[in-house]
Amino acid sequence: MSDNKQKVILQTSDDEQFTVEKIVAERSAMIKSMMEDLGEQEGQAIPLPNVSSSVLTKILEYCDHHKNEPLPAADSSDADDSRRKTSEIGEWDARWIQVDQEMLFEIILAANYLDIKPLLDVGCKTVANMIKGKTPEEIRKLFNITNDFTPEEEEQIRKENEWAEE
Amino acid sequence: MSLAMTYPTPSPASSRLADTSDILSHIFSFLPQSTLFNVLQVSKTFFHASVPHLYHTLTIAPGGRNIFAGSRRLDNLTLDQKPTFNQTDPSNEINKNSLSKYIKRVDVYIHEINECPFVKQYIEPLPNLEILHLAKGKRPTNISTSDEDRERICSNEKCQFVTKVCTNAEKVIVRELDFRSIMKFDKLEKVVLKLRPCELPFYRGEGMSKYRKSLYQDDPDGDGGSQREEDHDYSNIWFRSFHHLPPSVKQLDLVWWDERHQYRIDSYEASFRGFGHWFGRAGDGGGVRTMKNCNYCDQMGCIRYSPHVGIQLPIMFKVLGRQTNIRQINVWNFERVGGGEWQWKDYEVGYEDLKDQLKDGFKIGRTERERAKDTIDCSDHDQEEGMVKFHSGLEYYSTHSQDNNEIDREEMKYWKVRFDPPDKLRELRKRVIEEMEKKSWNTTDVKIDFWSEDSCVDWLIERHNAQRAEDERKNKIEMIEEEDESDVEGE
Repeated sequence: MSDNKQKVILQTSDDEQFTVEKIVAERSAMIKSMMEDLGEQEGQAIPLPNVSSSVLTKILEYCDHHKNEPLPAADSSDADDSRRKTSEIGEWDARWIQVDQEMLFEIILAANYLDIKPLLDVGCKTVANMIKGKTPEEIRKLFNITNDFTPEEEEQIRKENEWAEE
Repeated sequence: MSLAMTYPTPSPASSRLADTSDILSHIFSFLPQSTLFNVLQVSKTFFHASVPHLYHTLTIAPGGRNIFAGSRRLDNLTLDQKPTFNQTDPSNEINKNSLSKYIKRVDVYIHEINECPFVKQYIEPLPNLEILHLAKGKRPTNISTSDEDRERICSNEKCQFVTKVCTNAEKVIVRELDFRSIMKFDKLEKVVLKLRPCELPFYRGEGMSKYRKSLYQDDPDGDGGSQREEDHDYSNIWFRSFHHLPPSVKQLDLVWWDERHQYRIDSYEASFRGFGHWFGRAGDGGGVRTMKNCNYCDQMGCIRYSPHVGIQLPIMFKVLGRQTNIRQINVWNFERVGGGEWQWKDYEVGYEDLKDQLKDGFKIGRTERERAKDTIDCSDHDQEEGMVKFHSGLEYYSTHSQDNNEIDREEMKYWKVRFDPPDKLRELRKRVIEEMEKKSWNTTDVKIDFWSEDSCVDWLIERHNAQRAEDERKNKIEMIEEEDESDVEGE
């Protein structure tokens, strides 16, 4: 059996087990690292306590589709260099990410936990596109959060950043 | 066997996401300024995750937004004086210095004095500035080329925002051979110099001597044949020099580009002062139409052939070795300068030979500096030998086309023409090659990948006209022959 056809068992937070090709599982830098740590202990399930089976099913679909693409460099996560990045999403990815909002957020959280950078990018770009054009109140509703500014703080923030207002 | 365990039921994903600042920050990195303005009013968590992105890049350009608006300079304040604000007085303008720590990159285009932020506000040096891009660009359209109007332009060492606020930059991208505005940047480590071939310095001593030699190369005993005292004069006739580079600079990336002067061109009419025959092309007004910051050109085309890169570049590298602390020089896209025969006229030298000359020049300069240690301040100089490395234009494009760090939108057009041409240009290039092959011309040395859309169209028009002239000529010959035949038959 070739190395790429080797299987890995992943165990989700709701106790489901998924047997997947190694090349698919290795899209996750976190799983790859755990596999290296486990070494030859074949049959040992890798626990993923922060990922449910429904989310993992969806993510494995993504990983399988992209399994033959080169893995991103380990040091390519510098958020500071990200200011001028495009928010465009590839055609297949855009179709694949058409899920309900709760699932989208779960995918992003899981991509962050599993350390799958291209997937994190796709999810974050999708949310960024959802935020565009929304007022502060609409954004609060989107994320289900409350305004914790005092009126004075709100006024100061508006004033010192008004140069950026459309 | 599994490591099975039971996990608590998580809170909704939206709440968990909203509490994860690094994911929020990643999301906000894809947002434009106008949306970020709304995002930072959402909550304290959102404010702290979005404000670094809103202030990450500052652009100073004609008609641009002033992020320092709201921190007004007091009327009685001189430019070098730090203002003291009464923090308890709510009528005071907000001091933006607390936000300036987020600024990592500044792009400065040619702007008017009254648009320069430092003229309006007191701004402390940006503490975490990483990149300063002195982008040049065209002058504002409301500024004429008169001497009086020229005073209104804020650029180079005249821009106090650059000289006083950007002093902590670690990397500078500069688009002309003039380092006066950054000479006091004591944290500067890397300089990226984007240079048109025609913006090369012209070294008075050795450059002039070698130029003479090149003119008299068939006569070894002629005017330029012997080593002269002036050969050791490294002053640049254009009064721009590498000794303005701060001593902290350890790496220079020399990126050649725009050899056909199609981008960021600012030209003006200058009176003819007889600098030499390369300034001999008069404009319509009897003066010289000169491209701003271009030493050898006018609008009718580049006249950099003499004195050209083959002479000036090795001297420039010698100067770099002698006058700077640079340890590594990366030369990018050099095949466009050293490789094409269109760059050469009097003093031909092969591409590989020229590369060796540059490496040798740098070594010689460094050796000269070591020898002169007693007379030159070398307190911060180390003994490490400098390195000169050459990289292709394709390498530059591949390395920098994605991160938008060194190539901006205007410059991107130049690189795309060569390495990622649009379909229309590909089609035009294909037609050029087909036309050449029809004529059984050798196309191996054509270097079609370097041809721009204009070059292709011009060539095809010329070819079309030549073909038509040839066809007409053939037709005339045939008509004459037919007439001759009919005359013979008539006789």
